[in-house]
Amino acid sequence: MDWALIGDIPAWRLEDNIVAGAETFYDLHYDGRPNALYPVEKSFFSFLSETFQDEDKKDMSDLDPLRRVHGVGSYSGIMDGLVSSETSFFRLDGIDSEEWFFTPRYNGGLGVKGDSGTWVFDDFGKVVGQIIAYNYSTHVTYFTRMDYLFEHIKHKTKATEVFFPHRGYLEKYQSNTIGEQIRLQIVEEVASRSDGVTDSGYGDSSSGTSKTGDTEITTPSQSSGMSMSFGKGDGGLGWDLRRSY
Amino acid sequence: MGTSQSQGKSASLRSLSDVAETLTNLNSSITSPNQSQSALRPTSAPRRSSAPSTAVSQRTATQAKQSRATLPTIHGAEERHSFPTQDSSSRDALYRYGSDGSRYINGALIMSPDRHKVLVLKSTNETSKSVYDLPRGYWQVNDDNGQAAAALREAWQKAGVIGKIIKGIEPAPAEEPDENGLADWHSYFEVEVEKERQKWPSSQQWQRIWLNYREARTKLSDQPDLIRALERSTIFKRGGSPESTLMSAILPGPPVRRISPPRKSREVEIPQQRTKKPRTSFPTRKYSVVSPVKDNVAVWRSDVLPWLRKNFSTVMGDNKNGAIELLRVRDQPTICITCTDPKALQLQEFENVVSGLFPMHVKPGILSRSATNQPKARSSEVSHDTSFEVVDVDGEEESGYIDASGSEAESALSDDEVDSDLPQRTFPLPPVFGKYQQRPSCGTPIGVADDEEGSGSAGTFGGVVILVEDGVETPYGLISHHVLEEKTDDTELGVGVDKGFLVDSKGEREFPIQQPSKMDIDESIDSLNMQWYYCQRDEKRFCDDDDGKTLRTKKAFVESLDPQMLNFGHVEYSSGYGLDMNRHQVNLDPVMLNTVA
Repeated sequence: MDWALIGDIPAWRLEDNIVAGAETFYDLHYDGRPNALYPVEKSFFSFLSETFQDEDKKDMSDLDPLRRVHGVGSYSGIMDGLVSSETSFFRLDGIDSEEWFFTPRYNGGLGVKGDSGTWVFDDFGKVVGQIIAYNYSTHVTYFTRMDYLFEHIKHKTKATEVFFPHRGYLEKYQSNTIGEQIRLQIVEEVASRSDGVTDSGYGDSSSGTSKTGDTEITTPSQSSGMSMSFGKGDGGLGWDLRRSY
Repeated sequence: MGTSQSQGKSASLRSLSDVAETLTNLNSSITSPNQSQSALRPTSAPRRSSAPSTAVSQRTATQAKQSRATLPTIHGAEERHSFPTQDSSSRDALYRYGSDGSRYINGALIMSPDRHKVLVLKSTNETSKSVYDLPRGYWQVNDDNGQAAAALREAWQKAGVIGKIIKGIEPAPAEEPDENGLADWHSYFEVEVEKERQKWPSSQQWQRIWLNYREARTKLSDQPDLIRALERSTIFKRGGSPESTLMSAILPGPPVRRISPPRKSREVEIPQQRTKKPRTSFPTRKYSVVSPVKDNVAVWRSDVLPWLRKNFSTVMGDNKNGAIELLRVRDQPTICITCTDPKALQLQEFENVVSGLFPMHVKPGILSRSATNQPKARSSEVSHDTSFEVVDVDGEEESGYIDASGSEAESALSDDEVDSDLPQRTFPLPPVFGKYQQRPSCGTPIGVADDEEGSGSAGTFGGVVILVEDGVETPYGLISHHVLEEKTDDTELGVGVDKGFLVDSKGEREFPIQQPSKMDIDESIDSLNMQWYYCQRDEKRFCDDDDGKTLRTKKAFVESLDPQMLNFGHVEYSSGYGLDMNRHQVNLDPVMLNTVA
């Protein structure tokens, strides 16, 4: 078992479970959120074996929605994979366990370093597990079943019930006052540091030595206002102060 | 790289790096006629170093082999001659490096006007291993105007094509990290031809051929990064092999609808078909999920699985890490055993149980938790990879490296035309920088805020769950325990964070969480400082769009991040490591399992 619970999340940073940037990806199945007080999708795993039993005539092995999983890793971004109908056995740092696994769409895809803790969704948008490890030889990603994980949480914390909040459920815990305050403060600070010298080109006045090859510099056209989104080709620096879905 | 860069470079830029490049070019022309290839990332380092291209590389290869034989866990120092390594001391001044020591590869997909064909380079040197390639190379220090321009430079140098960029393909890390665990960033650009010259710098080494999508895939099948770029390009993908169905694109193995020809009438042709098969059918990934229908999974479930549940620990022997799973390899359900040291396995009894029902593949490999920790730990793990020979229980022997990297012709990635239909933004730009999100949700990078120098690891924020404690519902964020602390020999099993503190014999610790993680922020600062440095030196690479306003804004923003903004609560409870009430734990008392169920 491999989980940790973060408590005391600041109210201004609390958010529903949203799969970022996945609107279109998940359109067919659900609205982008693991919807509802679903305890956990246990049937997912029993399906994996059940389909097998009555299935010897028709071939459902290709593109089987029952075996398809998705996840948004902080390293890999959103990616899908095929879950195996058989569990695997693995040993990590001397501890043995039996875990489910899937093969991500690309070798070196979802599950590599940085992606641990990623929730694994089934094709219908339910959470089925949490990524724990990656095998760099066979390129499979191991994950823990979410219902087992919840059981373990209950065992460890004396909680009587664990569930996913549905959309809007967290509203009573959220607040925006501090957030707004901090946001304004930052916008102000950023503005004072970066905007004050817009017209003198990119050589900031704080470093007196920069040459600004006058001939080539054109006055920036979009210098009005403080836009906090830096969308264009910034190499991944997606600093974003808006609510980002 | 054969000549100095005349294209698009102003005469005034006679800097030190120009001299350095000239020197390097001179040097390379002396040591090897094939040196132009060394600008490319070796897809498979050991194989490349053993390629008999020159006497020099042959010698280094044998030395490398020897050193590998004597010191299996340490990288042969000689190998460093054949390809650059990541020590900052041995970095090549010619190239740009990321903060972790990886480099940037820029390449051009030169397309015909109707987008039906792509220009592929064929090496004139028959002995070289990767005969086919696209014009590409490392991002050089004196490549001005960004990676797109660098790709155009490669297009000119390697293929003699002057063109313009039509579209950038999302950059991605190398499909197979190199032996140090580093993955170079590959950026490819679609290029439209404006002029195709008859003489160009590398015309001696490379020959141009125009291929359609299928042909190009086949030729480049041993280079997954190129395949990936090709898949994501706008090249016309239909046509070619009739087997290119959606189905076979997702799951490997023979297409479902393929009709096997009547054997009798085709007897003569069968051998010919066999030799041709790997080339005509497009490559798929080597290891894939078993299909309960096609594969005999019932036997696995009834005969092997129960035994393995009880005896897995014995089979693994003294291995620290390892895994056994049933995967489909070469169209056959195969038991794959990955471990740190194959010699430590106790396979006798297991083989008896399996008794030939499934072939078994044993190989050394890296199995690691998915959290990002300090790079030190990373490189020591990776060093296992190249140093062992693979023992295939079938009697077949292959090199561990080839096996692990999956770079054989048959084992490149799965074809997917499905993929080009997905919206591009679902595949984000290089996510190494981490994002600040005021309200983090599923998939956000997250880390432990820790003041000790150098420490810190990063994982992914799963999402929010609600715990009902004494009738009170409280939201908690869910992450992995191993993001908090790495498992070491000293780690006490079964001890997790409880009510905010982890109490063990070393005292009590708490784990404040921040978003984004410290690593992400450091990396951003590095990157921004680098860009800032170039801006101040009047190189407009990063600031020509808007006079560097964006850059300044970003920089100011990163610098303004204070603990209050980063604060994302602290860990209240966690699982800890080790044996515990856990249904996954093999070897547990069945009675105990039942009580949990």
